[in-house]
Amino acid sequence: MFMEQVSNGLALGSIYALTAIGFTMVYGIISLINFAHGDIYMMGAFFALTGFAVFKLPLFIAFLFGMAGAALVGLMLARFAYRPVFNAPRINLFLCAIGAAIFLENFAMLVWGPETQSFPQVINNQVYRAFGFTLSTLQLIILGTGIVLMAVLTYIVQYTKLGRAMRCTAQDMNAAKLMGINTNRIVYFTFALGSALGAAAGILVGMYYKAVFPMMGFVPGLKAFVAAVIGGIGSIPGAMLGGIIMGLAESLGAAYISSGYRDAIAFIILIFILLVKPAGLFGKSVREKV
Amino acid sequence: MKKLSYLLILLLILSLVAGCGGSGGQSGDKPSEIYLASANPMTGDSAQFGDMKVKAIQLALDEVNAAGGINGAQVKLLVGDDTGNPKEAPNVAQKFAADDRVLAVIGHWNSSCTLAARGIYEAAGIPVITDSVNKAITDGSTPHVYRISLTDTAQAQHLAKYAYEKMGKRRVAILYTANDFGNGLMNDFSKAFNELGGKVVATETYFEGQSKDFSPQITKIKAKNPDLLFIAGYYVETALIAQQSRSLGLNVPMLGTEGISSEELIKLGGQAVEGILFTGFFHPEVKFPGTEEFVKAFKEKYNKEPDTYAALAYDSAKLILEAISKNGATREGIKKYLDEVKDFPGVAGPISFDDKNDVTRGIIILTVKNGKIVPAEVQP
Repeated sequence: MFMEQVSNGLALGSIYALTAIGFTMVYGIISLINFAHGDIYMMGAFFALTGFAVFKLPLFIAFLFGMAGAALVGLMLARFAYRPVFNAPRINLFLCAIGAAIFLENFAMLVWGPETQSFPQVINNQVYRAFGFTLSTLQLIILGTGIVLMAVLTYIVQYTKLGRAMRCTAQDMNAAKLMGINTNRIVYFTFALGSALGAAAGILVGMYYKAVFPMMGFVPGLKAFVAAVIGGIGSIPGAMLGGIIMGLAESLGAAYISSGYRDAIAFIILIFILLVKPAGLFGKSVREKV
Repeated sequence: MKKLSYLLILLLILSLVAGCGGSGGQSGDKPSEIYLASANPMTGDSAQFGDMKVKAIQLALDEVNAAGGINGAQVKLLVGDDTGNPKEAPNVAQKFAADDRVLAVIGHWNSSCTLAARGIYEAAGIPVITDSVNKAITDGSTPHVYRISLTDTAQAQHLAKYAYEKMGKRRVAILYTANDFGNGLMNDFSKAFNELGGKVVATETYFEGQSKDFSPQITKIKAKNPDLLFIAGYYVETALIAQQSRSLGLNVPMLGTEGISSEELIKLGGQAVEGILFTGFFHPEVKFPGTEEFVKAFKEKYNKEPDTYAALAYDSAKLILEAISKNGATREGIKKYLDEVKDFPGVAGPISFDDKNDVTRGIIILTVKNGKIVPAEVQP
């Protein structure tokens, strides 16, 4: 049973990891705790479902459609919700994020209806067993998509001009601006990319559990936040590791402690990390300039 | 759904507007309009049930109104949305309690909502007919609250007996939702099943509306080798549990309660819920006087099959309408009628209330066969 629980945890963890990456990226660039991220994840799932069920797109195209739709939502949020208060104190930006989250939830309820909708069975979900591990096709797809998207992201951030500009903007926005980097464009790009990644997670979750509903982003949004903090907020490999740790902890916690506490376990880990290593596993502790 | 939400908003606004101007107009002996209210989850995870209930109640009212109303008065329905959330239910109850025109309330579908709201109705002396199943609702402290469905205790006992005697199961695992409804079912089922001589090998829990991943629970249950999985919850989660059980290799028969008796279960669960057994209080193929006519009228009006709660809500509305025409349009009159009624011919079977205001009725066992809900072959 232990190995099975570990494989459950890995599948869950890779979903958290995907969600957490987009979250941590946005924080890395503009230090915004984007609480609307979970709802962008939900929007992505709904866009993909619409593309698949209404426009009858093939699965892969519907997937890209969901990511593109969510990226657009992310861009609009950045432009209309965050941009106007960008130079205001951080707390305003934070409140805007919460407002945007509530807006998106209610928007989805009006457009798609409040009830849970079933995601059609799109992939023949076969179960593979080896060395006590059980993994299903969909779990493998989730893990695979996570790894591929992460590789693409690492390439963009580390080896392209745009990525360099992103890293510069993250380090010091004003200096980057002085060096001729169009920081606005970088911020929008980051939002679009982060949202697309979040949407990918949302779509995979919709496919995995075959259920899509307007409130589906709330808890995963919080969990992504916890995963990002565990890994060191702002760090992309940290977010991935944090997600996996969370997934494993939840599955094993539900198995060996009690299934009633599984959501609490995430936050217990958060408190523990904040007490022991406040910067997170991969985070650098930066002394505040006085 | 979009249309429905607009309609609801409109209804809410209308009822507010009517509430401001209407209270003075009832001085004559014969009111020209009679108001009933229905409080249900119209949005949220259980929205499907509220929708069906309101449709059925409206059907009952339309029938009476088309026949000239009660003593010439047309009957109108006010709809309140408790969103299935016990935090919201008291607000809805308060609104109805403050409205003198409301003669009776049909509702609150979720047990937690009824529990949260019943004190307010009791204080206002409004008769309530609920279809929530938690046993605490009719503990004697609220004589104005009547229950038209069986308690979860009665249901759990019937189910435990069915599982032990008719299905021949001895090792059952329980997966229950962490609220009044799920907890009650889990305890009562375990007690009854143990008394019969069976064994409850695992009890796991989850959170309604939050949990989508049940793999840790299912893996744990699988390791205990049960021969039956009893799911005490609602249709969304049950559909997911069924699917995840299949993909994790837990292939045992599943038993549920009337909380999953809905077409949505099949839409969400697909192949995985095939063969699942659950309690029912109503099925179009199990006929009582009036059942056929009700099913036909419902289908004609809404182009949908009525479900259990539609039938119970229809019966509730019929009971109240009958009470008004017998005892007059007062809250006391309705209560008096409900206290005395014997074997009222409901479409889901005859209705009488015992001294604790609980209905006395049997259960039927339903199952999913070829994507349709049908009565199970073996009945209790």
